[in-house]
Amino acid sequence: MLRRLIYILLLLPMACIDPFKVEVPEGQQLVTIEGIIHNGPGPHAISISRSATYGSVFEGLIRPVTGATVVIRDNEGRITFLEETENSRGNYFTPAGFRAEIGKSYTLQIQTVEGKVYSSLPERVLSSPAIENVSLKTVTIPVEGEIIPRSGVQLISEINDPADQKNFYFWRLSPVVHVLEARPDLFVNRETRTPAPKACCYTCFRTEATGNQSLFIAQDDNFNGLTTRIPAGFIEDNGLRFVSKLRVDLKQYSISQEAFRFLRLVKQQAEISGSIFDPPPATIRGNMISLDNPDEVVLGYFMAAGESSKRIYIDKSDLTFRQIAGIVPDDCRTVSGASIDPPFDWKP
Amino acid sequence: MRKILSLSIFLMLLAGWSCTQEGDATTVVATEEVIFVSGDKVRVLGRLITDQPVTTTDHGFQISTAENFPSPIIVSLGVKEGPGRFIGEAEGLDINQIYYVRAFASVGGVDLYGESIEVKTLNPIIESYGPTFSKPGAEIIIQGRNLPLGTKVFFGTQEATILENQFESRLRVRIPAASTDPIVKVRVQVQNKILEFSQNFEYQSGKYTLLGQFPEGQRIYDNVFFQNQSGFFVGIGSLRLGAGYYQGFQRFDPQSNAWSAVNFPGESREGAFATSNYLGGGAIEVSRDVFELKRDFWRIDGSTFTRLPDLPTNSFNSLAFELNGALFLAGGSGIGTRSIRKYNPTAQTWSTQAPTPIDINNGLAWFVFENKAYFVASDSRIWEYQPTNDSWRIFSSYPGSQGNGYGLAQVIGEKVYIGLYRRTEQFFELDLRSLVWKAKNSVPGLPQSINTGYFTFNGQIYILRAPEESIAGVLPMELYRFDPNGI
Repeated sequence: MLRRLIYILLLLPMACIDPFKVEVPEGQQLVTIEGIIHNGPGPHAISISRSATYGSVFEGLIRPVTGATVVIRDNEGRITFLEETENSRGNYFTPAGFRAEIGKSYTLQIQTVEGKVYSSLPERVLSSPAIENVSLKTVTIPVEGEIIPRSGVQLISEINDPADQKNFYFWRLSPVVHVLEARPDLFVNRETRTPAPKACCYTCFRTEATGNQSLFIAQDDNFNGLTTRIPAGFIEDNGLRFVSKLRVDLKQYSISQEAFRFLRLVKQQAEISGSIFDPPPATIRGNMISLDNPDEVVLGYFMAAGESSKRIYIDKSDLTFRQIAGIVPDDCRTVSGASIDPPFDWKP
Repeated sequence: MRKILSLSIFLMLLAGWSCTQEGDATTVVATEEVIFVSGDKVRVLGRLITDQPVTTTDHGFQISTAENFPSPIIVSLGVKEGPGRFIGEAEGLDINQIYYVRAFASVGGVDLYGESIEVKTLNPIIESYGPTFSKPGAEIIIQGRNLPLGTKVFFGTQEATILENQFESRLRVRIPAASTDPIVKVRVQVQNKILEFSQNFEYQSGKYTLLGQFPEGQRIYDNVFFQNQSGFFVGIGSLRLGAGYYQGFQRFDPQSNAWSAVNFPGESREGAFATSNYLGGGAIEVSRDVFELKRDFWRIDGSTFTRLPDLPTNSFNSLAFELNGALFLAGGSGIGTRSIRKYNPTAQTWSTQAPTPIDINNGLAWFVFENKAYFVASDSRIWEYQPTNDSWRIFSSYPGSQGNGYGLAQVIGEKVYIGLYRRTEQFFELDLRSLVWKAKNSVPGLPQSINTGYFTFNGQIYILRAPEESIAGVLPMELYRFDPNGI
């Protein structure tokens, strides 16, 4: 009796396993609106696109939203129309001379060709304290399996934080201009594979958008009213940028608390590394809303900020560690963005 | 022992039980933010917050000029299922007025209200408009701020149609018909507030009045015309399609608006020249494209013609003008397209002037102002000829099309009116002091008409127009009076 009972009990855990088919709902192509206006020189850009969806790469293309009517309206009702350019579809630029004014609130209003209307919540422009100084720190980043670490220069902004206002900072870098050294005498004809030295040109000035490797933001909770130094940017050394001189403008924006919260969440999500301590993935709501359907998810954020800027020249001797210099075996002018003439305002 | 064990198990079971107490549902309505304020409109963002499923029978916003919302404007958004954001918009508010706004929701018969937010509607402002000179039916753009949908635009007393109102800041407006004055104020009315631009709007002006037809229904071409104290003279030209030549002249009296025939003792012809005081040259077509050139030269006194000694050269399709009492005969064949001959009436002698910088014939529009002659060259540049030192300089440039040539130019005061070239209807006014051009209204009538005579009297231009020779039908020449400032 007991033996039969054991057999019956052994049968109990047995079960058929059916494969579970996951039905992934087709994602929407969400309208994504982002841009910043500030009190610095323009033009300031607003980009409008539709996000990618799950699926094949062909379905997942990020498509610019073209032909929209885009205006910026201040709290006094003054309207500024933005223009889309032919060679930058989906990007809308403020007219020459436009600058946001400190203390005013701005809203972004968009009407698409389909007639859908989007508006931002008002964003107030706060003054940004001046960047007193920019100091440099060479940073190395170990790379698994590589002997030579990645490296670059961290830009540290020194500011006197005003005590009478709550400040939220956001830093961006302008495109850098650096001396590019090439070896045209090492040029090899690619067809015949024979050396074909060129007489020109060994040295150029290259303009290059490096972007910031991360989002650099800060709030003055811990240094309200104090002078402080905050990491504000990073330029990676790719072996070409720091062979002589590099110029960059560090731009510091005083953004709203809501914009800071948005950027902080984006930063958190972007820096998820897969550890158990990561914040869970989540939808980040911006400040754009659809007037036709307030429940429509609109991605992105329209920022209005005060700007302060500081230009610095970085000499190769400022770096305590540099990558092995790269070799461009050709006329330096063949490199994208390179010119033999320095910018008119190149004053290292 | 077993009892104790049973009791223990029972107590443990009891310990695992718990009571679930249902909490009260919390539903809150928040007036989140005023996201748009203009002259008469506000747009508000609200939110329904709850931790329970909820259905509102109505939700929206209340707007009032008083803080305690005694009789509010209600923006009703109807039934709402579940929590979330909602946006309400109210239009037709008073400009520059303080309002209070709050969100509301009716849940289960209970009205919930959000915080009250104070908002002030904005003042309408006008900034600029353009163009400041145009004609009825065209469009202008008015730039401003807080110009709501009910905005009205007036040109003087005439209300304009607003074709488009972009973001309450850019009005696309159709220009209404003018009333009487060509220069009017442009006013923008928002509710009871009237805003007026300091810059006046000027209507494109120019009124054509049809005075009548050329006598006998005749159409003549390659004719001469001139005016003097006796009136306007039109005559001696070819009749349509080789039907011979029109004999003599018709004289028009602008005061009585009557035509009368005037005898010319010479032969009729084509391509002759004429000024107020002189007439001559031209040719008679004796066979197809075979011309007998005429050198007879006449002095004109009112309606009387006195023959003078013949011209020293042939003159066909030349252009004639008088400066400082002397006659200048320019261009055409015979004289030469780059030559000018000057006639001294006292000595009755002819002299040759310096060569001209442009080709001249009677197809050019030309005029005389302050004892200087001006010619609109075929490249549209206007050349000034100074007879005292026999010199030339570029004066201005004609902005319109010269079509097939043969435009007119007439001076009234310090303004010259140029245009009405063949196959164009453009007519322009040039201020001879400021050199500013202004378009005038187009001439009515058959577009394929040409000028067969033009004169000036009492600040108005008289234009005799004939359909082109190739146009068939009973289409007599028409005489128009053009009032440059007429509407």
